Amino acid sequence: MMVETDSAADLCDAVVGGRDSPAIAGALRREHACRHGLLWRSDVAEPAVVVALQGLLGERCRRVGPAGLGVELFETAEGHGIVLVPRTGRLQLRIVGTTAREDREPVARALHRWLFGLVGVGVDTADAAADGGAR
Amino acid sequence: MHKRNGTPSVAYDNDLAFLGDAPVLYHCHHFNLFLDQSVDDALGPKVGPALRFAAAREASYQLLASLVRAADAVTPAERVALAEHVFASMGHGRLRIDAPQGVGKAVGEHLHYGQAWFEKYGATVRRRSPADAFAAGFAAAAVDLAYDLPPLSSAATEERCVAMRAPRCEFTIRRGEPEEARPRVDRAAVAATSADGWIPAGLHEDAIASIAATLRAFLAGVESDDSGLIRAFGVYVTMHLAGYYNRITYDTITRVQATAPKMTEVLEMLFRESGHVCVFNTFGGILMSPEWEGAVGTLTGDPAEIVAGGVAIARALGFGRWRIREHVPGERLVIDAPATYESPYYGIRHGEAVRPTCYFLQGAALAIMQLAERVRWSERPALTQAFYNELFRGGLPWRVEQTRCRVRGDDRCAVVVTRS
Amino acid sequence: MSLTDMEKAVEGIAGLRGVFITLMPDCLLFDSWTREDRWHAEDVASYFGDLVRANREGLKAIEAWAADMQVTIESADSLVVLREMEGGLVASMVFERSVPMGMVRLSVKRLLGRLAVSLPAIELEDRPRGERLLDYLERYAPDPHAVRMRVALQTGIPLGELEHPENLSGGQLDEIEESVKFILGLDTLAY
Repeated sequence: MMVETDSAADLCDAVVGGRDSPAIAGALRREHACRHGLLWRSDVAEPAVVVALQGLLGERCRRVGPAGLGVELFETAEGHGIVLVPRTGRLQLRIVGTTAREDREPVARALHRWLFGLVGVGVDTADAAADGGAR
Repeated sequence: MHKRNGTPSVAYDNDLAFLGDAPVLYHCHHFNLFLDQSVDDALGPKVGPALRFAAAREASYQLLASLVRAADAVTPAERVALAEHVFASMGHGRLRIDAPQGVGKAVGEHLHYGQAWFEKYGATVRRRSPADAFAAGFAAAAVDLAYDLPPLSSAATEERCVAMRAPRCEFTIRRGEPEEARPRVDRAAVAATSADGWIPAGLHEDAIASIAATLRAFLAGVESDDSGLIRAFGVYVTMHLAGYYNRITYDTITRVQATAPKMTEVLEMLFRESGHVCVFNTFGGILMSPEWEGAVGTLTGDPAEIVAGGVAIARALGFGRWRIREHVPGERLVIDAPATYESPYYGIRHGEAVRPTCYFLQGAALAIMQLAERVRWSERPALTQAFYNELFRGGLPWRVEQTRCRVRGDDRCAVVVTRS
Repeated sequence: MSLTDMEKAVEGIAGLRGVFITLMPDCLLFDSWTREDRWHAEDVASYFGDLVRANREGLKAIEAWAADMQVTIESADSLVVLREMEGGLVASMVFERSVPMGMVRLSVKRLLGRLAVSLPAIELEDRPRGERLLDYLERYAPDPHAVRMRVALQTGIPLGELEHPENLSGGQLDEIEESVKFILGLDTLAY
C-alpha cells in the first residue's frame, strides 16, 4: 500500500463512506502501457468535480509539467503521476515504474479512491471490478 | 540553461537535439531493445555486444567530456558524480561507479536495458547474456574522463544482469588499450553538414511546428525519478545518444556487407522494422496520451491528423525537421527532411553512400502511414503486441523507398510510401 | 465446417467455455468449440499441445508417466483439463471456475466419451523438421513478426529459403535449431 501520506484520513473516509457521496467517480480501467499495469484511466463526467479535483490536486500534490496547455500534471509524494484533462474529464494515473507488478493494481485503486475521496465522491468498486480493465 | 535538478537542457538545431556537444534524441525501450537485438543477430553474441560497448563508450565520452568542461568538474569525484547524475537524468537508471584509476566496479539499479528487457521478455524467454552494454560503455567513458586516462581505453564487463534474473547489475572495470579516435560527430559538425539543407515548408507546417513546440514544452519539464527513469506522455523513454544508435547501425551494416553481403537486405529490413516498433509504441503512446488530448485535441482518426501528428512527434523527439511533402490518404505519403539524425553521422564517418541510409526514417514513414490508415483511433485501441503483430506482421499494404539522401549528394533526405 | 460434431458433443455440459482438439506432435488445431469469440483457437490448441508434451516429458523424466495422464489447471477464471486421446490427439476442456471439481470430472468423462465416438480416424503424418522448428519458434518468440529475419541473419540462410523449410538441408536445419535455441534461450527444444 503506497498511498499513505497525510491524506490517509481522506482515503479512509472515501473507502468507508465517512462522508456523503454525491456522485459516482468513473470506473478505473487499466490502460495499455509500455510496462504492465502502470497506466490507469478514469473519466470524470461532472465538470464541477473536475474543477474541484484541479484545485485540490494543486494543493495536495506537486505540479509538474507546463501550465496553460490544456492538461494538468501532478505528482504525489510517492512519485505517482496524476494527469487531468479538464476539457474532457479524462484522468490518468501513472504508477511509479518500480512498483512491484502485483502491487500496481492495488496502488492504482488506492490512489483512485484517495483522489475521489478528496472531493467527496464515492467510488463504485463493484463497477470498477466489473470493468475488466484491471485484469 | 539547466533544469531544476541540474541537468543541462537540450538544445535544438533544425529539430535535431543536442546535450552538450552530443547529438541526442528520445527513444523508448521497444526501439532500444529491438535495435540492440538486431545488431547481436547480425554479428553474434560476442561481436555484437562488443560493438555496442565500444559505441556506448565513444558516444558517452563525447557527451561527458563536453559536460565536464561546461560544469568545470575537476576532481575525479566531481566527474564521477556528474556522470552518474547525467546517466540517471537521461532515464538510463542509477549507476554507481567505483573504479579508482580505472580499476574497480560499477553497480546498476533499474538500468534501462536490463530492466526493460526483463519486463518485456523475461516471462517468455531466458536471456543468456547481459543486456547493458550501453551502461558498461557509459561507465568506462566516465572512468576514462574521471582519472584522465587515455580516451576510450577503459573496459567494462557486465558480470551480473537483471535481465538474467540477478537482483542488480554489476560491472567490473579495468584498464585496456585505447581505441583509435574517429571523426567527431558533434553539434558543430552536424550543423556544418546540414548548413545547406534548407527545403521549402511542407503541408500543415504551422500546425506541425505548433504541436512540436507544445510537445517539447512537456519534454522540457520531464525529470528522472528516484530510480533514474524518465516517463513522458505516460511512456518510459530514454534520452539517448545518436552516436550510439548510428555507430551500431552503420558498423553492423559495414561488417555484414563485408562478410555476408547477401544478408545486408535482411539487416536493413530489421533496421526499418525498428522504425515500425518506435512509431507504433512511442508515437502511438503519445497520440493516445492525455497530454495530446488536452493540448492538441481528441483524436478523430483522420489520416491527415495522424500523419501531421507523427511528423510533429518526430520533431519534438529530436529526429530532425521532418516535413510532409505530399500526402494522399490511402495512396501516398512523402516525407522529407534537410537532415535526419542518421544522415550527418553517416556522412561524417562513412562519406558518400551508394544506397540511401536513413533506415529509421524509412521504417517510421511506413509505420506512420500504417497507423494513419489502419488504426481506428477514435475507438481508443490498446497498442498491444498482439495489435502490433496484426498491423505489421506479414504482407504490409505499403512499400517505402528512400528517393533522396544527403549522403548520396541530394539536398535532402526523402522517403516515399506507396501502396505495395 | 467442423470436423467433429462438436455442437452435439458439448450439448448439456454445464459451465463449459471451450473445447480444443490438438493434433500432435505438431500442436496443430484439429477442431474446436468455444463460447468466447475473442479466443484464437489455433493459438490455444498449440500452447496446450506444447504443455501436454512438456508434461509428458517431465513425467517420463521422473518415471511417472502413464498413457491416461490428465493435466488440471486452476486459474482465476477457468478450470482447464488437458487429456491425451487416442490417435495422437489432445483434448483441452475449459470450464468456468465456479463449476465444482466433481462436476468437472464427470463432464470430462462424458465429453471424452462423446468425442471418442465422433472423431474421425487420423493418419498421422510427420511434418518436415524445418516446418516444425519454425512453427515452434513463431509460437514462442518474443517478436514473431521479425523472427524469420532474425533466423536468416543468425544463420546466413536467405529468407527465400526459409520460406520453404521443407527443402532445407540437414546442415541448415541444425543451424536453424541453434538459432532457435539462442532466440528462446533454451538448451534443448521439444518441437
